[in-house]
Amino acid sequence: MDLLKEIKKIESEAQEKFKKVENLKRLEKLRVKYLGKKGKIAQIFSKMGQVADEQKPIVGKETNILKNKIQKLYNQLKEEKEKELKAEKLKSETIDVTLPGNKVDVGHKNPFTHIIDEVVELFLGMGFSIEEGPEVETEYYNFEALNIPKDHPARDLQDTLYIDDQYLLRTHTSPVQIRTMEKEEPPIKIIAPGRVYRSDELDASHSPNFHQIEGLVIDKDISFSDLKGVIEIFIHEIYGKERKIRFRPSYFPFTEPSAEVDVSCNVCKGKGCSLCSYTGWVEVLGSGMVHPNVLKMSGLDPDIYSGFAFGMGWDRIAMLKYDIDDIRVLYENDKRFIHQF
Amino acid sequence: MQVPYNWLKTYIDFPYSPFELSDKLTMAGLEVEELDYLGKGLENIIIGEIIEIKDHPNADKLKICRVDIKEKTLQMITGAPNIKMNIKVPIAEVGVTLPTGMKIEKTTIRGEVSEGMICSKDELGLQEKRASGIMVLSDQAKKGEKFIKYQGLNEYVYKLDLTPNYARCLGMIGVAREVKAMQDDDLSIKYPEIDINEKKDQKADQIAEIKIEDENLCPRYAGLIIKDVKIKPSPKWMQNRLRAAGIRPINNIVDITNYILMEYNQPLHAFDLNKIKDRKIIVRRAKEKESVITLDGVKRSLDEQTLVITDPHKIIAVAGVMGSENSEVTENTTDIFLEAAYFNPTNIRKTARKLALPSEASHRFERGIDIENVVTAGRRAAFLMQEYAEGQVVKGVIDNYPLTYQENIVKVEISKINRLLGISLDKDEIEDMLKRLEIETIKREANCLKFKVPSYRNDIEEDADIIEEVARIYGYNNIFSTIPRSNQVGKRTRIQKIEKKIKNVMNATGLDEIITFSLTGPDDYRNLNLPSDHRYMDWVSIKNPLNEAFGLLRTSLIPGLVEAMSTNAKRQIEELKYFEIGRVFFNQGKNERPLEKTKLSAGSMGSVQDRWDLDAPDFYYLKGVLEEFFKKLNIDKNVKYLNGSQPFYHTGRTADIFYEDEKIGTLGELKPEIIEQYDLKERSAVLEIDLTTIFKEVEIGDYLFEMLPKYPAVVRDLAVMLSEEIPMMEVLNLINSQGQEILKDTELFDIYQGEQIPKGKKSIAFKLLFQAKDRTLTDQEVNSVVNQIIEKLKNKYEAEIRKK
Ligand SMILES: [Zn+2]
Repeated sequence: MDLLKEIKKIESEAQEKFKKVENLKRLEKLRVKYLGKKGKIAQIFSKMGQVADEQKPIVGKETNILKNKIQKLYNQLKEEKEKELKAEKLKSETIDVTLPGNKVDVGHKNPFTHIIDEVVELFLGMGFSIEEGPEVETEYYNFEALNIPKDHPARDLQDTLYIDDQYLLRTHTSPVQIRTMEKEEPPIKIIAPGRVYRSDELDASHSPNFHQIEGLVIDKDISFSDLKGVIEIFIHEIYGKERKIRFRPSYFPFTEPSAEVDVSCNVCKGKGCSLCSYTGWVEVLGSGMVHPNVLKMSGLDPDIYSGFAFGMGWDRIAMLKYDIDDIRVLYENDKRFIHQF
Repeated sequence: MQVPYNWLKTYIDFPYSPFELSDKLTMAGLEVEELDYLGKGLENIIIGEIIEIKDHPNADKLKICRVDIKEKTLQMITGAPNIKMNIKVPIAEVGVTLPTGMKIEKTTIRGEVSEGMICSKDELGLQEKRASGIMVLSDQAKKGEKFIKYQGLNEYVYKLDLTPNYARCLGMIGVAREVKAMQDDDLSIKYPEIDINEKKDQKADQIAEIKIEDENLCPRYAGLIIKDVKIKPSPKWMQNRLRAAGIRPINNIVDITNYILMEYNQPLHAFDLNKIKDRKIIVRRAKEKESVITLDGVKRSLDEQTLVITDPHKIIAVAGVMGSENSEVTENTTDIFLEAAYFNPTNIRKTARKLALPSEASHRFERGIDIENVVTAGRRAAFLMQEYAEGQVVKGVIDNYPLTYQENIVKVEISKINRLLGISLDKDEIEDMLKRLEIETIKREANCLKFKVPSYRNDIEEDADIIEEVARIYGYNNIFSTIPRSNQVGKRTRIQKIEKKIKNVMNATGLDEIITFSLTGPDDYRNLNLPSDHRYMDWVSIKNPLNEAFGLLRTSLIPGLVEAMSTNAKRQIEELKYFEIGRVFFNQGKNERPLEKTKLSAGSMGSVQDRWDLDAPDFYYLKGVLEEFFKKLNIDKNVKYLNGSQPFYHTGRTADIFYEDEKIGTLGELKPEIIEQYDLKERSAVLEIDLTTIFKEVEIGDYLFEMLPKYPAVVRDLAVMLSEEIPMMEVLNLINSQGQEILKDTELFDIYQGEQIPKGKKSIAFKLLFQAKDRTLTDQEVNSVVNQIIEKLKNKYEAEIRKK
């Protein structure tokens, strides 16, 4: 028998068989058949005794070459087949990616909180602190200290809910101005968000209970132009840079000069529509230079100090910003409403 | 205040269109609330004359009319009972659409052609009530002319929302002055004509006498006498102007007084001279319990605070508020005593409020009118009565003026104006601006100007008022914007930080934030079945509530929360988790300041996960929220839960929450009656926590980093059986107390009752996690601790060990 011939034969046979292998199991069988302890290669080695001495190195060398070839072939195929198997497994695990995800419960912020967070961040950045005050107030803080004496027509501007002869529900957040001026020395820079109360029937645009945000700045040399600067920053931040702003004369007993602040209507872009009563402007805020009487009553000398104050409806900001046309929606707490924020 | 554009134009010839003026007024501080065109929809109505009337051959009640509209005549059918020959009527031709939306078409009515419509007042939108016939115009109406012109409807009207400091603009001349100030060129005011042919045979003060008893309440009272007046309708133009201003025409005398009210902002009152006893007017305070029947026929009882106009026998008017029937001008009146006065604003305000009689007059008196103009206004009225009531004006004015007007001089520092407004004007510029408002400089000093304020500007008292006028004329929008310099850092208070943290934790645990009313009603508390001595019943009542539902301040957030849950449940929302942070108020006794507290509430409805299989998903959801909440605030070790008992909770499913030994809140499943009443889903639960203690105790931002463990942990399961009566918290406390510093976590993961467990017992299973900082634990160490725990459980609770 010619071993060299046999080696050639095994080689071509192995090449043939490995090429046809279908899966890892068959491949393993082939490995055993050729490379195993009793495999064809081993058999050749075992026949080495019969080979003539001078032939031995040649046969040995050829057998090793064959062994390496088959080993290489096996390795290559094994890697291939394993890859295929993994791919198949992944394929079999395909899911419908369009199925809905798990139900995740996320708590939603109230629109009021969204707004105040935005406002507070803005004013904190400008060096303002946040103040609060009692919702039950006295005549003094709610009216007199704000330059609204008894029997002044300005009292008609707000319908007050009273508790008794001494106490009432604050009709605005302005009493916080007074409380702050009493306890702190200028410079003062605060905003004061809070609930306020009026004797207004509940309807689409009125509520006996609503919210305001008050602002106060007191220092030496504070001017009307400072008021304008701060309010413009605020409005552009809250309502958008593209909004136009105008200041027009108005009246609040506790400020002078007083200014009502309008922004250009976002619905009609200033052309006039029902939202803005065909004026192109929407009223958003009242403001003014703190009235000298108010400074005096709070123990500050108006010849030394000056300041400005502003106040706005917090509900109104929400309504304008989120396009809500009925204030009652804000207090109804419908989940589908809150989940929009 | 309603200002008709064309009427205003008679006082000042401004160059603005109706729309331009609207904007100008608003920007001058006279906010235009509404701008109406009165002739809207009536532009195509013309005046026709009836020149022929025939019976309709086929209908008894209809007439066939021929109407002359100047360029042609038209046939129209009408059923109006007041149709007459040669009357002038408003006509809508074919093609015209009426304000009611009705479009006029050529029709045939029972065989006769109708080429238009003769209109009634309601069809023209001039009255709401259905009219009984067609509108008949006066003989002066010109056929073919536009109806709006005849009726004075070719007019724009501004509804001004005037703030109290614009009281001067409650008259047309006041508004005209503001228009004048809008321009720096010389627009001038055309003051109304007063050209009286005085009746010289007698002087007014020889006919009548005025006595003022309280000069503080009545600083000026003037009277004019007009004799031989003829009471009849006022001229058409006057009626039209009054109507445009929102005042209903009555007769020439009343209309003239109203006209002056609108023109000069001076309320007047016309008395029938012959009904004034002795022709003697006494202005005095009413006596206690005195009464008067006012013009509206109501008997009013008065007191000493009320100023009244009287004659020696009777009260003839409540000063500045309303006249009395006993001295009223009627059809038979011939001689008029015309009152022109200035009354104390505060006093008029009080009286009008007390009698609930607000009027155009009291509205003006209480805001303060021009005391110096009282006589001029009276004379203007007398002139109009001479012209339009054929009156004879008696010579002279009885002018009783005990408290004469003191000129108001205001001194202003130039630098203060510039400093406060952030502008830089010089003396001349400021002078010029104020001049436009008739505020005259009377003295120039080095750094100051002294101004004389016109008598009609009672709103100007001090320099701040002048500075405001400068700003207004300069234009708010011409002032540059600046940012105040600052070296302060803005910050939240500790409480605000805690509140924000709480909101974040609540959101993170899946709760939505709600805001409910703090004004509420007693029903909310009645529905909770509270005993009368319950803390929630200590509410603060509103003295003047809108209605019962807004009659008190809440003492708890729970009613509002339940209401919100109910609203949603009724809208088929199956599941929700809500929280609120808000203030509640407790009554502290009469004349004591109510106590305000900040509370946290939360509610859960329709939760799915039922961790312990106790059919209490909402309760344990909220419990989980609370645990996370206290953990995040770093006070979980100080909190405990004990069985509670609130009347609105399920008796077996409620806990009181303690911080150390102080009760800070409650948690519970709402009891079935409440769940049913509010249509909530079964098992809905709520909680409420007083944040006062938490605000006091919690430190924000105080975290200390703890080294992460380096050595492996050992986990052991432990299952024991013990009496079902023993609260889990006790068992956990006992286990943890035996942990010897190596027991790091004890997690309850199963409770079981049922088969294989004797009645009255429960099987509970824990995962115990052991770990040491400095070494790998040995089995021995762990076993010794576990055994010790088991011993304790056996001894204390007769626990049986099922697995370890
Ligand atoms: Zn608009």
